[in-house]
Amino acid sequence: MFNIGLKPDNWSSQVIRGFKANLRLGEFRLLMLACLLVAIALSVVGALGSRIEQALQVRTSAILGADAILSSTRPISPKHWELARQMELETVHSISFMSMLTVGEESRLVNIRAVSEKFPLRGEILIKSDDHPEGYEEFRQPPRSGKVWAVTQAVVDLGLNEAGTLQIGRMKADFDGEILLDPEGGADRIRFAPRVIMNISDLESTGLLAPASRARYRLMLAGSPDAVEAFETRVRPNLESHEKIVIADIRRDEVNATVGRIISYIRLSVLLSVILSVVAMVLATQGLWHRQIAEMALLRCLGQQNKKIMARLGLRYMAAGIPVSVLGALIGFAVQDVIARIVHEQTAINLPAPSIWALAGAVFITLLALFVVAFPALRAVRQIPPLTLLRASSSPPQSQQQSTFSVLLLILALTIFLADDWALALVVLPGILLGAMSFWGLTRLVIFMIGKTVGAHSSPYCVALKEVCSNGARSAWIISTFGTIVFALVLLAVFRYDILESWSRTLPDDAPNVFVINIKESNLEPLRAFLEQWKVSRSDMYSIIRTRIVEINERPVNEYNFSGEAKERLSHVFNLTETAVLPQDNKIVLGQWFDTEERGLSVEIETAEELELEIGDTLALDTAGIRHVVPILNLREVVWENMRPNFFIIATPGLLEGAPVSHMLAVHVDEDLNLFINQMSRAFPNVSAVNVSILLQRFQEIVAQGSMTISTLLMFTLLAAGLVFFGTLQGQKMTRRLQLALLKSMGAGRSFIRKAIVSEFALLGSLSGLLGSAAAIFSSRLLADRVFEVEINISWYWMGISVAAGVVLVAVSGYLSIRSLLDVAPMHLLARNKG
Amino acid sequence: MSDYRKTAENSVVQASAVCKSIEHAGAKLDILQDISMDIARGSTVSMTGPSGSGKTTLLGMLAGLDLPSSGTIKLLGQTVSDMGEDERAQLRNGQVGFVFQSFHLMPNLNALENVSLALEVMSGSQNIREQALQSLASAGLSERSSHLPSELSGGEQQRVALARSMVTNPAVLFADEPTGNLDRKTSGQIVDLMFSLAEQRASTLILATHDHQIAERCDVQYRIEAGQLV
Repeated sequence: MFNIGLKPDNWSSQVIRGFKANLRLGEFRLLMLACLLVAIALSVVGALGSRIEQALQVRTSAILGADAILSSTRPISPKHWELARQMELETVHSISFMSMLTVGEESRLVNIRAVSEKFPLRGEILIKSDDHPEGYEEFRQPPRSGKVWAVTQAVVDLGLNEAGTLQIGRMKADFDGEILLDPEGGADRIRFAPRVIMNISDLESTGLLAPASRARYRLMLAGSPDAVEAFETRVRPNLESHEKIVIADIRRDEVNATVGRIISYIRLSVLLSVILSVVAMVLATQGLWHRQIAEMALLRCLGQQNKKIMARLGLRYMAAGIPVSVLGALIGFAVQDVIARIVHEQTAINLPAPSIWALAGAVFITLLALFVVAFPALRAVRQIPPLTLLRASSSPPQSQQQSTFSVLLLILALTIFLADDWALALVVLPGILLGAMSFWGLTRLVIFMIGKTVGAHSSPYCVALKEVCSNGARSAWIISTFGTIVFALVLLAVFRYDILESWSRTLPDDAPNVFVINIKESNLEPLRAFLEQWKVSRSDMYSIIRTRIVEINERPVNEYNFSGEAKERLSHVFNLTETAVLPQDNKIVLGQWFDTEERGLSVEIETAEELELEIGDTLALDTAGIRHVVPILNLREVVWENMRPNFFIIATPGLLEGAPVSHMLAVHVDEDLNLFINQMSRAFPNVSAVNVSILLQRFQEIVAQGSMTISTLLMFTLLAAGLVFFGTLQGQKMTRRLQLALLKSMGAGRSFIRKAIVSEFALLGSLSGLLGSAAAIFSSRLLADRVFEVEINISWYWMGISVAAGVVLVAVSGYLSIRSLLDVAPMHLLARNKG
Repeated sequence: MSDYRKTAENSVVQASAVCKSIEHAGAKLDILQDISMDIARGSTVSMTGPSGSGKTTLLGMLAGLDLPSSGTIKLLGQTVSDMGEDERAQLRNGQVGFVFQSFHLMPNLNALENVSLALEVMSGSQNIREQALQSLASAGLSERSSHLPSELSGGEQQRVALARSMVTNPAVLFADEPTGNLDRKTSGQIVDLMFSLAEQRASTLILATHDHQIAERCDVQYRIEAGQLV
């Protein structure tokens, strides 16, 4: 049996007794609390974070109907089908084309989408149903053979509800449901005519599709993220010009930039919580180490060998770590489950089942962190001289210096592991390290300068300043730890405010919920009257010109060696608008917005970067055979996720003279949306109205989910900060005994001492607030730029708030932490180790 | 490790030409010079001398807590000056007890647990709780077994320390200024108890003290001045 000096006959009772005895030590309790918090944070993040990520991924995939889509204007190559089979991916075949849909004497051009079984692989199709309280029924399969579903526009235009039967090519089919939302419906809302979904088994009987027919073929794929990524990696480099692949990636999809920010914020918040908890663990082990020196020396005197003493100490840490990390992981698991339930109740979002590995991972990482933090203390045991007990001058080893390197390594490893995002890790980690070093260096400098200026005066404030200066290392340590707390909290507060603010900007109450397209010039005036009649609160009208870039700086685009998205962009016709007014949420980043006299283009900045365009370059645009060569006048930033019509390229009014123009309208309707669409379709048979309210509602659900998670995680960071705060105050309490005893023995009164202590802590608090907030402001600018990709309006008033909070909190807490010592007689304060 | 008291050897501690010096500010500083002594089994020995004379250093070396710079020390028949740290610890295990001026009780352990600690460390000990309770009783603290050190007076804390040092029935008990932190009345009680317990258990008692009255109660008295026996 492993002999660590405890007797085998009563091993368990001694472990329990030892554990109970350790619980009497404040430092041990602090260590356990810190471990508990690390485990809770890791468990919450491991389980909830991955569940949210999965939920968001599912949701993103639901918008696409699959995890990935390989599309082509020609039938999908058999090699892609074979590769998908090899990768064990689920597949659905989809073919879409334009055709006439006829009901009796009425006909309408529609976008027919023929899909195979299992469509959609992700998400669902919402079919209007009065039998369901939600007003719709969810389907995860295509219509049965001989049946079709159609979007509201087609239903209204052709009176499908009344007619029942319809004709597509040679096939007669039954109308079986009105589509409220379908995968890709949102994404394609501008481009296509009203959609009709049919079963692919009926396609042949329509007789519409011949080998040379103009159609888009899609291979829809779903499977594990690794398999999807492997498929993409294999296929993307060898794509033909007629093929393209789209991945439902929450990070790559521009519409989901907000979702990406939620995940980044969750990671940042947890990262800071865990780092603060690790600092609390370090504080606790340092305190515990000083307590243990006498015990270890005694054990040596009593004849215990080094390895047994180390094992004894190790067992003590294990006794703290194992039950607490398991408990913390379970609490974290329960907490994330409660959050998931609340999210479900409030938003009806079902999160995927949590992974048991998240729980095991939380326990493992907590124990690993504890081992790293405690290991230097275990190693230092052999350096404790037994003579420590006989003479005070025998200096015990310090584990602090030894632990610095290993703790930094631990924080580095945790940062990389938790951030799962190099940009985040590269900003947060150096931010903390540089911050801590600059706290230390600046503090020592400030203390040195104060020391030079303070003279000898009979004043408590003078005593306070001298106390700060004469205990430079202690003061710098307190400022560094408090400064780190301020850094973490200010950083989180800034981004919490900013992200929530940006969401409310992104999704205002009057965000458009109906898009109306194919509006002719002759419709404009009657349409305005129609909108007035409906008293719509907000509407934006845009001209739409379908065009294609054929030359850049008088050189044909096919002579450029573009790849990836740039290549795809140039190979397609796209929508351009002409306007003299800069659209909402657009911002000029280079050049000036159009002058009334100017003629030229405004290009979205990322598109410009992809195509290597600069102001002054010329583009030749081919619009229905008409060629225009026009200069680029400015570059623009666009908020793609604002659920409004956005354009890669905007032209000055009248620039593309002679080009066919249609219009589109983005409108917010407060009242009965279906009635609005029905009436509009009847009044303007040629236009298409698309209801995006369900898509909007789903996006808002994601935001609500993220917002709630952010608030919950902030609570953990606050708890971790509280532990560090408490640990730091406890750590300095012992050294205050001598200070108080000396002041008292020299005749200082209670009031004098109180003023001196409060002044000293106030000074430490103000320096912590100042340095911590300065580091947070610096890091937040980097994070805003590199990680969150948002503009932040961080104000220097954060610094003022931090200094004020630092002064009040540190002064009050510091005073309260040692208030009990004020009444103790100097003799008792001076007595060593009185228990 | 065999019980030294069962051997025929009469000497418990032998020091021969022991010197101790340290480097201080680049110069050699002699703390002990040419100390030789032979302490008989079951005897009581005192070491007196002014502060800084080297008595605590000598006590530590005799107990194997530190090594001499030169010379030889034999503890319980074994030459500690040739032993490694762990070997010396093994030698002390269960056979050497300590009483310190500052008591050195573990603040988070109650009186019973502090006494039990010595038995937990000792190889082969059985019935730890019973033995610890018995030792506390012999120190007159049966009623205070569940009290933490912070709940005990200085005298009571030193009684617990004494019970801890004697619970293993050590062959040698080293005491460093055992009454240095106690008032005169309590000191007298503690010293009486210490001598009584040592006698009951046939333990050799070696103590360093400033107190001449205590020193005079010992069978053998050494006086150290400036690192030398006088």
